[in-house]
Amino acid sequence: MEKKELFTSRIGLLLASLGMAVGTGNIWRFPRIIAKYGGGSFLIPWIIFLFLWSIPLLILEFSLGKGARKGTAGAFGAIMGKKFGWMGTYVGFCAMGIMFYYSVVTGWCIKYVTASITGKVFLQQGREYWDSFIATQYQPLFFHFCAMLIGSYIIYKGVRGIEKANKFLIPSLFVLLLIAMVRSLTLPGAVEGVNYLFTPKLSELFNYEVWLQALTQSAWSTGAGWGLILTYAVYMKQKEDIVLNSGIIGFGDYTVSLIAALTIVPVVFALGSAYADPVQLVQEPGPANTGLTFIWIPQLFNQIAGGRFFLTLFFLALSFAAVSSLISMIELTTRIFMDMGLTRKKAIIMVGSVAFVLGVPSALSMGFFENQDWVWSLGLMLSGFFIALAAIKYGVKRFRENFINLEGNDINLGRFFDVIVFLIPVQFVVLIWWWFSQAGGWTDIFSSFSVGTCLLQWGLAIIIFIAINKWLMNQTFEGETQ
Amino acid sequence: MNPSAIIMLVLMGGIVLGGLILALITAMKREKSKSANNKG
Repeated sequence: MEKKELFTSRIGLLLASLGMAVGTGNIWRFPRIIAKYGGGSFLIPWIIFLFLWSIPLLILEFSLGKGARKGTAGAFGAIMGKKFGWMGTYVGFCAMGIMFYYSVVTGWCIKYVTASITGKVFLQQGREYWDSFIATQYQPLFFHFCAMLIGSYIIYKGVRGIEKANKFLIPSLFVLLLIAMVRSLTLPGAVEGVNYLFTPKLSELFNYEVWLQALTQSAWSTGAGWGLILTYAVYMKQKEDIVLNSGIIGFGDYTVSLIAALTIVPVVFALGSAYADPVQLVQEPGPANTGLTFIWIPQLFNQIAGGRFFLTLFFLALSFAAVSSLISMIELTTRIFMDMGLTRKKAIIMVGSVAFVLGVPSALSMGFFENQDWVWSLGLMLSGFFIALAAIKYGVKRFRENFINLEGNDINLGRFFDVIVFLIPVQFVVLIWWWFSQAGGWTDIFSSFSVGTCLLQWGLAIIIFIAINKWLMNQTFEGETQ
Repeated sequence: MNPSAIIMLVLMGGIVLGGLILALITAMKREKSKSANNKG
């Protein structure tokens, strides 16, 4: 069996894990989702799901990876029995589904580094520049290729590279974001944006979409249910803490999310109110919402002395954060193929090439991109459900004693955790039922945001993974003895 | 700023930032005591 490269320190593992959690999930995705789904009302389910969904799932993922020392498919096979390995394959594939379009977002970040250096981003209105960039098609495609190439190369060099890079990059991104937030909040009219962000409208809490998106945003941003933490935990030392690390990742991610929202949304209200209704601007669907951060951040930095320099630094740090998240997705998929007996080099080349090809439609079409974000971010609910089922099938109390409360853990978990694990499938079933019964569109498989498109894509993946499960498990567990 | 927004901001900020600070302090304390034990 290949010798696994372990993280050298707690800080290294934590920063690498935070590198996954702090990135485009907070800075690109959170502001546009909270703006679109009701501002203050969104925060209530979002905070609930931190405690009832994301942190418990992070703990389960750390324990599964550390206990099984295998990627997602192998870990499910080892813990639940080989016939349930397809669930782990789905978890890994869901992260892959996100990786295909995530690489496109990483490419956008890299593009904006070059545009900031040349100053071209300041020559047009933010919206015009964004629209013209997306319309070229060849540019998003080229930068998507660059992102996959960089990600695959770094992962080939080993996890020490991630550790070193994140020690410098995460603090710089954080400091730049704080500077941007202070400037944003001191703009005239910014307070209206803060009001929009934090004023809860209780009627919105009866909207299933707010709860659905709050859960998926929480999972998307913290990394809960992706299988990424599970894969990182394969490299953890046996005596490494699980519970506290999960808490730090969850709270850290949420803190950065709030800071990012306090940076982006007030800018729209301060600068956008001159020519449009800011509420319409932040809630507008389509490319304007998808590109909210890319449209407004340059306009914000334009208000700061030395804005071009700071904007370049900002997008540079964001690009590195995005690449660090991307490499953890490549690592996850690579691990699955390595468990099946492939060499690391072959697995990386295969994953990098396939991910580039399957990301091409998202790079070329914003409609396709939005569909993939819809399908696979909601698919994380299913992943979380499967991970909780793995612990339940094994026996939650037994799981807690054998995989969580181990020597070296800073905090041990009591029986309340067992209850929370049982609540994960309950949340899943209630939300799915609420969504399916309210949304309609079951047969509308070609609509970007329908139930049908989700059922079709999840269903296809699951059918294929069940069909190949026996072969996959044989490959995975044969590889162990080599 | 309207009062409900202020309450929400303080509440949300308090939970996430408070949770983060508490978790970091606990982690540092445990790390210290672990290294002290190792030296001992």
